[in-house]
Amino acid sequence: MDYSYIPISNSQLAFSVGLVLLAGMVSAFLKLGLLPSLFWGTCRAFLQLTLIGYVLAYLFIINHFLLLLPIILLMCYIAAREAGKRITKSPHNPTFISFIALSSSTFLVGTIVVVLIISPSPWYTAQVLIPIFGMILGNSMNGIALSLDRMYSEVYGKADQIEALLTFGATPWEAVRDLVKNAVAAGMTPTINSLMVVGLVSLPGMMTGQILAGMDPQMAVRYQFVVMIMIAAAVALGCFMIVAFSFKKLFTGDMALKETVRKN
Amino acid sequence: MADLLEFKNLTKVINPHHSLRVSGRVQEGKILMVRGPSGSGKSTFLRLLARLIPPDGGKVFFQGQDWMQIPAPKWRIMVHYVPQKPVIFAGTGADNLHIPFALKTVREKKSLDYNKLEHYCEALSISSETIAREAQTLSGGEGSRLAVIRALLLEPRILMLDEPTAHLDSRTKKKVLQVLVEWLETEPGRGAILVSHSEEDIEDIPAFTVLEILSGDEG
Repeated sequence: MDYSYIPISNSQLAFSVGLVLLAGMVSAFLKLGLLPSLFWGTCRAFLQLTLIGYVLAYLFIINHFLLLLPIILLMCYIAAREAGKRITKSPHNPTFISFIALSSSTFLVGTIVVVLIISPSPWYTAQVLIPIFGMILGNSMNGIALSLDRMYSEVYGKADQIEALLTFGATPWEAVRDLVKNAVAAGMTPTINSLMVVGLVSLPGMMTGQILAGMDPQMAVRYQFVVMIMIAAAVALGCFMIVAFSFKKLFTGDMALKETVRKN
Repeated sequence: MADLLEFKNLTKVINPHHSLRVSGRVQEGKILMVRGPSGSGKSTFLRLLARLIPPDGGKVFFQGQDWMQIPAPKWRIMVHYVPQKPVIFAGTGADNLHIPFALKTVREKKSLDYNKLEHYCEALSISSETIAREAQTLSGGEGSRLAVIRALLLEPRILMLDEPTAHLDSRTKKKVLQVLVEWLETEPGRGAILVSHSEEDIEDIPAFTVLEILSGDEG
């Protein structure tokens, strides 16, 4: 069977904007007051995607690792800042620690997938590197935010239990180990759930995109499988790293819970 | 009698109007009774000695050794603190008694002594049915006694109890104090610190010294 993609013309693209009117009508009918946001959101999405289209096209042409590296680091920083905003219970700004966890897990898993599994030539081919790293970051960002927020909730709610364990001679790690496990599990649960239902409830965006772009569905499925496993690994690693980096900050140098944590 | 623990000008600013500053010692085989009005800092004093909060000044020595030379986990087993409202974990009473012995620092040195467990349970009227029950269903008094047993099984050198008899009737109070005195006398090198408001408690303790913590600014 011959697979090819069906292009979308400018007029067809303009016609799709009409669908926003449908959402606008619902908003107007129910007086939700969402029309300005909807209008602004549509404009932003169009401009951002158009811009990124040009940027990606430029990067694919230049295809130089020294140009790609700062871009990936910038993507890591933006993801870390966004994760930091979602971590509401942290006593300190979590952006830096999120950046370290996100960039470490993304570079490790992303490099394995790109170099050992997909193996493009050259290995840093932008067409592969950018989407792969982007997908890892997008998913890990949610995972680490969920994990860290859960860890702080658990620690604040169970400060007495942590102190009791410390009085029994527990090290800080022993005192929070179970809470950390719960936190990592909380961050990984959405990823595991999506592994369970993929192909049954929904067709993932990447696979759908590849099929629409004309790829053989069998090959699209292979890519999707690799991507999902890669995301699961990166999320697990990112969640573990962020809680491992953060739990020590809950304790003083003398292995006691900080007063700010106890009083929270 | 030899000094086990000595604290000199141990200081903590509790609030802008009140600082705790205490000096004293815990002697072998004796109980240091800590007394003072509510809010004077009795619990803070015990928490300081357990190294759960950092002091703002002062020095502490265990048999002449600076307390900071001893790693905190080891220190907290040696100078063990039981809070006024002891923490009872999910699981049965037996699970709660096993928790400390699952920790690496404890596991390396000792294991749960079932003979002692039986003895303490009998002495404090904790039945095997109580031990087998979900710990969250235990009454306040049962929970307090379970926490005292858990602490005794850890075999600290100094046991610090914050109002351990607060939820108990006078008969059970006597039993707890008898067990504490017996524990002190069984082996040398043990001491205790007891926070108590009760005059009755003093009647049941043969050998004690008193540390009076005053209200207001002592600094």
